[in-house]
Amino acid sequence: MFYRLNKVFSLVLILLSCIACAQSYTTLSIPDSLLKNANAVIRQSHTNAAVKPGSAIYTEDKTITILNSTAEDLSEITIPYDKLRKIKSFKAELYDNMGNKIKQFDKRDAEDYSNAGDNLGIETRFKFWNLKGSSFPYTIHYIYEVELLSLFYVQNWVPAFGSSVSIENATFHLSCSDIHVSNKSNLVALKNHSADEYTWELSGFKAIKKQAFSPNNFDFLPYVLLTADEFELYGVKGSSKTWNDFGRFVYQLNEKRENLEDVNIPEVDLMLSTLKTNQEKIQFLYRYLQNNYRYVSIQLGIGGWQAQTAKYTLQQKFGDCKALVTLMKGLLKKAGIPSYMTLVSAQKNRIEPQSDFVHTDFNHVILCIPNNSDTIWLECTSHIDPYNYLGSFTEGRNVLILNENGGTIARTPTYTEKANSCHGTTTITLAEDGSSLLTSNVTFEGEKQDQLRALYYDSDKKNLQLAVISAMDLSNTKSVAFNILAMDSNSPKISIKASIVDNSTIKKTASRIMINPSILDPFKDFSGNNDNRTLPFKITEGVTYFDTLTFSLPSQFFPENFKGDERKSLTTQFGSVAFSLLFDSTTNQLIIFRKGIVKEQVYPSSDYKAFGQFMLDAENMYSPTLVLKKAE
Amino acid sequence: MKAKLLLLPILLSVFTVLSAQREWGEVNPKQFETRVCAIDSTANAMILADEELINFVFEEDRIFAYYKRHKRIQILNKEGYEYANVKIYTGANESIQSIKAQTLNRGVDGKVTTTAVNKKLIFNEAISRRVSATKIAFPDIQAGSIIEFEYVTRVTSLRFLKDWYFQSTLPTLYSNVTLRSPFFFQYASVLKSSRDLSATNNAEATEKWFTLLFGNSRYAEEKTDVKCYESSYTMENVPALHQEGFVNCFQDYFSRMEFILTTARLPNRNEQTFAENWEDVIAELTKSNDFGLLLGGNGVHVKDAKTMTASLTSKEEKLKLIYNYVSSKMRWNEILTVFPKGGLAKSYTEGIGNSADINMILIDMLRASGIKADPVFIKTSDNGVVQKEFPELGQFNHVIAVAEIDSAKFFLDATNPNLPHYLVDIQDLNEYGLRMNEKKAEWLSIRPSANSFSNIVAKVTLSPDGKIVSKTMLTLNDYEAVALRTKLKLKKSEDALNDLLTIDENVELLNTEIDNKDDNYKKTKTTFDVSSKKTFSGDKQIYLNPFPVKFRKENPFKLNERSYPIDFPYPFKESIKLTIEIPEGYAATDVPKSKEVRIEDGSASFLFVVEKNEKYIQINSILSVKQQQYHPGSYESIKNIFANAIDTYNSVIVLEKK
Repeated sequence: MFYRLNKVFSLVLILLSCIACAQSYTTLSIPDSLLKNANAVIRQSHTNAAVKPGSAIYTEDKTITILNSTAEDLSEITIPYDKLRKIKSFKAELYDNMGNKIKQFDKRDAEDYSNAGDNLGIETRFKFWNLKGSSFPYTIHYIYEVELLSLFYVQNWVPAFGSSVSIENATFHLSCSDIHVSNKSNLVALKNHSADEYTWELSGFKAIKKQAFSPNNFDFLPYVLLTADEFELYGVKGSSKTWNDFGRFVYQLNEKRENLEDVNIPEVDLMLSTLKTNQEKIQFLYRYLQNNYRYVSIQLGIGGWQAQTAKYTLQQKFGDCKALVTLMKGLLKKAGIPSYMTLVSAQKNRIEPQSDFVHTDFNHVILCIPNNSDTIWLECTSHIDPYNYLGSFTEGRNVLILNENGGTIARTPTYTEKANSCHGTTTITLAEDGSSLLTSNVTFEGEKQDQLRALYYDSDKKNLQLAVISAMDLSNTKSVAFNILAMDSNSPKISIKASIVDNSTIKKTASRIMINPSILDPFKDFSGNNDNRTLPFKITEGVTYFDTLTFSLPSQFFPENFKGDERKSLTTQFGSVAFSLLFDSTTNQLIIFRKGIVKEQVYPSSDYKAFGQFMLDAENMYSPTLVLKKAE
Repeated sequence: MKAKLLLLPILLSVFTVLSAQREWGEVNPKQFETRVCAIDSTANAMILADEELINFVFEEDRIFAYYKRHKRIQILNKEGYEYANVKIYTGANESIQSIKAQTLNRGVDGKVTTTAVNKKLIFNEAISRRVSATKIAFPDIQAGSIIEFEYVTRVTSLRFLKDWYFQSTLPTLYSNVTLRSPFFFQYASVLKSSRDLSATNNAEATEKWFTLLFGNSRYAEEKTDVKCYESSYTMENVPALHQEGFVNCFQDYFSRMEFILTTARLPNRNEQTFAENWEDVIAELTKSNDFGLLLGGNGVHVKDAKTMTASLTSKEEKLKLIYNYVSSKMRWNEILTVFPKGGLAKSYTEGIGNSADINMILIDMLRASGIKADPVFIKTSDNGVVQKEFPELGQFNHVIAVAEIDSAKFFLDATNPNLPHYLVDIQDLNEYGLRMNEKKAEWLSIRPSANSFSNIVAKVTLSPDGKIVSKTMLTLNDYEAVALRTKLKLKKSEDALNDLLTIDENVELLNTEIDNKDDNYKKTKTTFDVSSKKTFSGDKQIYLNPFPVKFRKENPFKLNERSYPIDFPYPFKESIKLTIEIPEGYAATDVPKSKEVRIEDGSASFLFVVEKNEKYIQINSILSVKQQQYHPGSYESIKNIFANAIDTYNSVIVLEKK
């Protein structure tokens, strides 16, 4: 009987009582429809978030059946804790296939560890419970309560995170007292609550099979994002009602920390006085930063959001992303060039800032320099990146630029097939012993040069050798010698010259020559799995390849499966190929000109089969086997 | 290249006073001008000096080992800046007592300037219950900077001192370790290195120890002179080592020194000698509550074993039954160890355990059913090779079982549920194991099965427009079958086959069926039809790649040179046998030539045989590797064998209209 109880409590009680009475842990009752494609089934999951000013209590009650070892990360329960996140309670049980209880766990059974890696000063630690069973399938049930002491960290709800998890039933209940928490979800909240109280529910959610080229998880998985309007972080109050509010919070934490006006840096001051254009100055300062200051990740308390001062970094000669951005900002200010710290959600599967919902989930900082319509972006943690180049870590996404007024959403540039390219000329001759000798001059641009640049200075020279072999699509060489001809520090561009010996580019038999021009081929080795694609697919690295291959062949061999002068082309929405060849029987030279493009774009799942067909057709056109026959 | 082992007796003849460690902060300012390492021009940083002094101190009622380490690294260019972030790991039985760190630079006046690391920026972090890390970010780093740090670690374990590595992934100009042990401790020094020491010195010294320790003083504070022996080992100009593929244990190739306490002779206490041979190690284990005494109980598993084998008469049948029962019932928690966690019966009931739990349960159950079975201690292959000369249980990280039936030996490892009883896990294949044979030590050699093979047999027919239709059978045996079965537990058959095979984009596999996927005792037999999606034919010719389905398309050996021996997990053979039916009206006019490429002793080879007549082309290709390890000198030959195989797989056959 729960009359006269307030709404929040009654709902919690209803949930708890349901669990208590209806819970069965046998795996036999899972509907077949939820087993398909699934590695685990969330039998029930009830999360309750009670938020009040300054703190929040999260309780989570989950029952999960683990079907095979790929999903076992779900039975390794890891809960972070630190000064602002306290684990109040934890208990768990393990059940076998038939629902018999095998083992139980409590708070004391946890392992405790830090996962800071190369980061310094990270105070967040983890409690870890290993609930693995002895044979599949097995079921785990756990309940825990976490108290958050800063509303900065209110947690989103993503019940099917990762892939291939089905959900029988999951609910998320949010109640707020005396504080407003904004939410954004691709689920519809149950209607019967007030503005302070919401429930979301998900039933019969079918596992989504893991698929290559998948888009961002947040494009297809159910979620509820939360942001508290007001928060306090290590004694500093902030608001995230609007992007401007949140932007102002971070801006003010870092305001004037870039100041270097009263500091003399002779080598910088001198040089700046001789340079004329802003571009020269920015390039010089960026190089100066890269050559002298190294990235070290250090997080301490509010230091997660407040940078060390530029003066301090100048002395230490190292800093984290915020500190290096702040130093660079200070250096630019010396040169009279304004610049702006910019918050980024780097890497994949993160939530980007959108105009309709404010959140605080950022993990990186870069620097933005307005330059008419051609904004300059600087990644300040890399000592090798070219000027104004953002790699795949931060490219093509919404970011938040911080300024006096708050925060402005902008988009970083994307490196598409227009920017990413390989172009080269290769001459190929046939040696006495039957091997092919290839001499290539190749220029790699955009994302195609990232790996080579990263390994150029590696003291283990084998790594660069392997990167060159892979960049040139060589799969079976006898030897590869190369040198880097040019590496531009102001643009993402590397040129190399390589001498390659292999046995497969030209093969000679008694009466024929067979040519297999598989070097530098953007269509090579695409193996798409056609069946049952349900998700859209995203080609994240568009490329343009073009090269000229000149074969010097023995005399008296003439084309058998091609004409002496041939042109072919193929154009689809996914990309294109243009291929032409010319055989000159007087000089015995075969020259191939070819260009291949794979576009960077997102396509609906229904196009996937056509994409696979394009890649195959393109491959056959781009690197055909050419046969020449000896004159009789 | 393989590290050799050298036992260095600690000589008592005294001829020199040992040099002390380099003075803190004292460097020649000229050193800052160096930008290139003299022994390695590609290095971005180098270790100028790495020194350690080990001595012993009595406090808190026990003796501790103290390690005082002083290390200097020079940063040669900006790519070397990362070496100015230093991480020091410490284990559960050790703690850092003191630490200091500073950066040395050349000042404007040409003299040395020092910048101390702020103690607040030395972070100490407990990674887990057992491991901690101390992290230091050195300030004021520029090309030419020298970082210097010194720390003292106190360690409780005396039997095995921490290994000293003379070599690292950076070139090391000077590396020295000095052990100063009081006369009542006798340590053996074991050098594992392919390089020679550049100096070995021995000296005598005295230290003040509490008289109390020797039991003959009334005053707690009274101290007395105690004779100590110092042994000091130096290597100079040690090159950096870099990892390569096909190396089981990279760590094994670093030059290093180990110290083992052989005798402790504290005055007026009984002399304590430690295992000097494997017999002692085994004898001790037999009596140990943590190992030997766990066996032979009367737990549920023992009763179960008796019941389930009661009706069987053949010992091998019993063995098979018990092995398969244990390996399928017991789940391995992925912890490798030589010690069971607790009672065997308890793990048995829970159905989960560490490697020792599982294999000790197996041994108990085999014995209960009347089969002679013993533990065999091994070192898994990723941990390097066991040094037989060095009798120490700590070398091993895993225990398996050996069962003996009429002098036939079966090595058994029930941690992997996909193996038949005559195969052990691949990681167990590391030359030797030490058997605990009725309190006696016995070395057994653990050889991999020589019968792992992958075999494709196909009958190929061609349509007149050159399309392939073939009936193919893929047979996998021993470890190759294990690999497929393991994958099939997690993946669909198409995906599992895609991992094992290379399938040309221009064909598709249809009607795939896998037989014997759940039977660990049979070869897996997979049948499928290969069908071209596209034709490659001219007006009069058909161009046919006979290998649309093969085992590999890339040579795994890409580098021009090799510095380490090449380790394969087990010997293997990959063969493809094709019978191609020549379509009516066509003749095979250009077929690739037969060839044979082999390493000198024939232990690795690629054989390719083509035969043709009017109606058929017969192709047989066999890539065979019969040894687990090859000398780096064989690299060219091995690479060439694989290169020939890949080349052959890319062959084209020309069929012409008559």
